[in-house]
Amino acid sequence: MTWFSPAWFDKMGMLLLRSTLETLGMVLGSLVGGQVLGVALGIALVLVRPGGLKENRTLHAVLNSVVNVGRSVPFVILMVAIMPLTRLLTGTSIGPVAAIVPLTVAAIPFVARLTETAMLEVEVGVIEACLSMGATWQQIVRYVLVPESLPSLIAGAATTAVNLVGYSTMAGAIGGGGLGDLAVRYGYQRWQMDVMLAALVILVGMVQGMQFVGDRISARFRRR
Amino acid sequence: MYHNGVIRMIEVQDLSVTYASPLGPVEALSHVSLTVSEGEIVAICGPSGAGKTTFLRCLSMLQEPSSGRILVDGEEVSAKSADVRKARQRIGVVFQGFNLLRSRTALGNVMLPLEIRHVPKTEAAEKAAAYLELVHMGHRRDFYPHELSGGEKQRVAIARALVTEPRVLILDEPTSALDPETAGSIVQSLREINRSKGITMLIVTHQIDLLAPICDRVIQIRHGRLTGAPVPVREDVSSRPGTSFAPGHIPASDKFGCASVQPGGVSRDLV
Repeated sequence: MTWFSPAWFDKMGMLLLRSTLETLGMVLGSLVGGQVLGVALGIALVLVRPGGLKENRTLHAVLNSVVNVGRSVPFVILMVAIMPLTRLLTGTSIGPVAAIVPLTVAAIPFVARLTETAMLEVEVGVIEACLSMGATWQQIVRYVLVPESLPSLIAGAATTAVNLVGYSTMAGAIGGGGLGDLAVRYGYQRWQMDVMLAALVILVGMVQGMQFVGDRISARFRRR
Repeated sequence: MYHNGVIRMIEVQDLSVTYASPLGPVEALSHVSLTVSEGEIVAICGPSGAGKTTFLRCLSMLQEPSSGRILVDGEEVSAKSADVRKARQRIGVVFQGFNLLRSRTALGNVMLPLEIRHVPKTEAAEKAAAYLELVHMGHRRDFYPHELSGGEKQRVAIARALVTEPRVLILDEPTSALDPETAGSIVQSLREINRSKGITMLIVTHQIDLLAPICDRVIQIRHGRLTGAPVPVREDVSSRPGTSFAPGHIPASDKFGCASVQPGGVSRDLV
């Protein structure tokens, strides 16, 4: 059968579509979870850091170590290590839904670090101006830190999404499904280069699309 | 807080600030005392590193003095005071770098202090719009800071500091980032606002030539110490709001002749 001919698509189309949707589901699910929890952790890091609005050196040291440890555990090992948690949350440790758990856990410290970096870029003078208006730290977070760093946070979300596409292919190794799983099973194990190539093309397109959308939204909020 | 029938709006008493440094303690402010009457415009000038910014940071409660105290409208203000947020709301601060939020329009920036005070959105928007008109920025209300010139940003920053109707306005180098012409028009606006609202103004500057025409007093700061007239020379300033004020009738050299002021003495002969 000729590669990528109509007959080929009849046979492989559903398989590719299914895998693509699995990958998208894993990436978007873990992106949402990772952003919500990661941004919260990033805000906490900014607040408790030495010189921060709610300075707490002990808590900062703890959170900082958690982020560093989280970021240094290779994803393949993380997936296996947190299987009990995955099973607790999803009832299973295999499949795309289960894969969202380790992907989210991997995204949290990454997003936290990006959030911290983005928020430290906010001018101290602007924060002091709001303090002089009598703002509470909660108001500083709501009115200054989040809206002022929003363009960078969105750009960070795009970077995170792209990383998650990469990680999600590894999830295939433990039965996570998706395009990575497809490429490994057909390409590596059965030497079916056509399927591997198709999976690769879709992955490249997905990454390009995510980066493009992220850049566009980020630019829309960037005012300088 | 009353002195000869004049309200003492700002009273700084024996303020000192000492920093730790590798070479031992550095005294940024040394036993500084200053009284400003209601409605006065007082300029504090001096070279870089003289302690101007430290002084303003203490007044705006962004920094805690090592010793001494500051009273605004008769109440002590301190970064450590029980209700620092409430105390801060009596003082409007205009910062050197404008410090506007990039993510908000001119109107949004002026609304911010009201939103912080939980003023309902529509009411805040109306009030902010009125204050933008006051600083001649009504036509720029929907512009973002990056779309405004330096002078326009400064006007928005002034409106933002005034929108909560503070008794005292503190300005840090309000003209340093502006060209002379723009600076001149900002200075005129400050004078108009001082007259119409009776707001006490304390201005830190190194461009005293630009600001001297609107100031009641100029105080020099050098090596953390104040020289000049530490107490009001005009006893009638509190009655000035709404009335005309003609600084032109006093020769500038007499009016700001720091040399003729005896430290600690009230120099009525200057008026």
